[in-house]
Amino acid sequence: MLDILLRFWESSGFSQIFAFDTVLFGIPLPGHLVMILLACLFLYLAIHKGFEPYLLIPIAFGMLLVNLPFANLMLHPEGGAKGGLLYYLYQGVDLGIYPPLIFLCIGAGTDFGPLIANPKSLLLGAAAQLGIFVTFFGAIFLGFTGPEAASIGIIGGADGPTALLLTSQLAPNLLGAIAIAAYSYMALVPVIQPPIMKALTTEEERKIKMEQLRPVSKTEKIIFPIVVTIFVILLLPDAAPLIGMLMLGNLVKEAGIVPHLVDALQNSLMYIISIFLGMTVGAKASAEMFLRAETIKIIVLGVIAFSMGTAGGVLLGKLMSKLDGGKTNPLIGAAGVSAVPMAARVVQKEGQKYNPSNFLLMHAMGPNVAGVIGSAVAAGMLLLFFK
Amino acid sequence: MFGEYLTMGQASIVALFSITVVFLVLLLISYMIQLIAAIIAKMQKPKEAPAVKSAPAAEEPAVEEEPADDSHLVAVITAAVACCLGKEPGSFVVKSITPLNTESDWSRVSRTSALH
Repeated sequence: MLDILLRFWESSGFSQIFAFDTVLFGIPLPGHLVMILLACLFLYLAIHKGFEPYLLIPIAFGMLLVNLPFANLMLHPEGGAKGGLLYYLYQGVDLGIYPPLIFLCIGAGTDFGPLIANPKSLLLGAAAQLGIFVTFFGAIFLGFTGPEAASIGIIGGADGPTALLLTSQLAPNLLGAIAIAAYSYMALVPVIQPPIMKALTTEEERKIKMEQLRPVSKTEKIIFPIVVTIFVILLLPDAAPLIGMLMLGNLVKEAGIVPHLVDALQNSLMYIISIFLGMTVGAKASAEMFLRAETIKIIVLGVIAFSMGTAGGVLLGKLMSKLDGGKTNPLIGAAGVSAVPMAARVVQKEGQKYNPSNFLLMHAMGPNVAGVIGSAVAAGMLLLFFK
Repeated sequence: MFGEYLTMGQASIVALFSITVVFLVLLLISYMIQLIAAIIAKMQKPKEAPAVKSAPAAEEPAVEEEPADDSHLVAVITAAVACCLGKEPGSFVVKSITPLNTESDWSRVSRTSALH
């Protein structure tokens, strides 16, 4: 009887959960327990504080599931034995399927109109990618390998799917940490950006009112995704999965004759993929992979990436404002980090703070969607170098 | 292309080259947008006169010109018409908006009560 009880105890997760099996900075820690508590903290942040809940809930729950001892949800199939559930679902990340599908859905929800109306905003989208490369540099300096540094840098693109695609291809061991850093900072955009925007601009600049954007014809909106696809993919084939899917989604939307497809992409498919993507990415945050000194470095580098991206956009915005005689409000440069539409909303809010009659939202949407293209191109470049 | 660990020199090459390419790509896309806009404008110029005529006028019959201070109301009505027609607000022109007072008080009361 005692033997049966003992065996039951040993086969239950409770026997393992308190084991000090992880060492961080030389201190032994009960890894599983720490990760479970961390997962609960993220669930709290997602549900109670509303931090990117659509992604952070599945990510945190995936983290919780994978850290429950003996559940073996990420088990690799070996011999005749089958693998764990999350292992199979994770193949969509490993093979680079989910992130481009998310881009397909994002494309169907993106209006490139403000960008087409003001093509200069593309440059602001490019300048905000500065964060990626500064952070890449910093990560190399801190001793990360090239592919790892590229994956950490891409956090500065502020674009979840791009970061996940690049990391799953270059440094899958860092996927959990990078996903959590990227999505947490995206939720913190309203906290991170305003002080930087304020520090780099003068009060007069922040008050600048911009001219109304010209109306964009349907023909232009239809031609845009086709031309961009042909040009970017010819130039940079590595950006094909992201740009191709983004532009297909956008073409479907702008064509205007397949409303059911648009509806399916914007809603059903988007949320289906989000669940699989979030859950399996979270499942990469097991104790042995997450509780390491690298994770802290990634969290720190991530915030640098975001800040530098914002600074890059605002500084180019300032330059543009100087060159066009004060027609451009430099604040819109901050929206060049992708984080659609959060960054654009921050710009609108900040602009209105200094000039209540100012409406910068549509002007900021231009750099914002340009940032999506910019970070996809940057990801293509990094894949070219490190794949 | 590089070994696993990069020297700072190699890292600078990667960073500088990549950011330049990102800028160039987006700059070229912005030129393309301008080119497309110019071509479309050229193609549409001869057609412009009939295009204005064929733009569907507002549903309401035209009787009276709007004073400028009602621009807010016009914007709201335009948005509502666009929503009902399922078209972009820029794709048609609201020429005039006139209140219709042809209905009886009874029908207005019944409509109001149906709304609540």
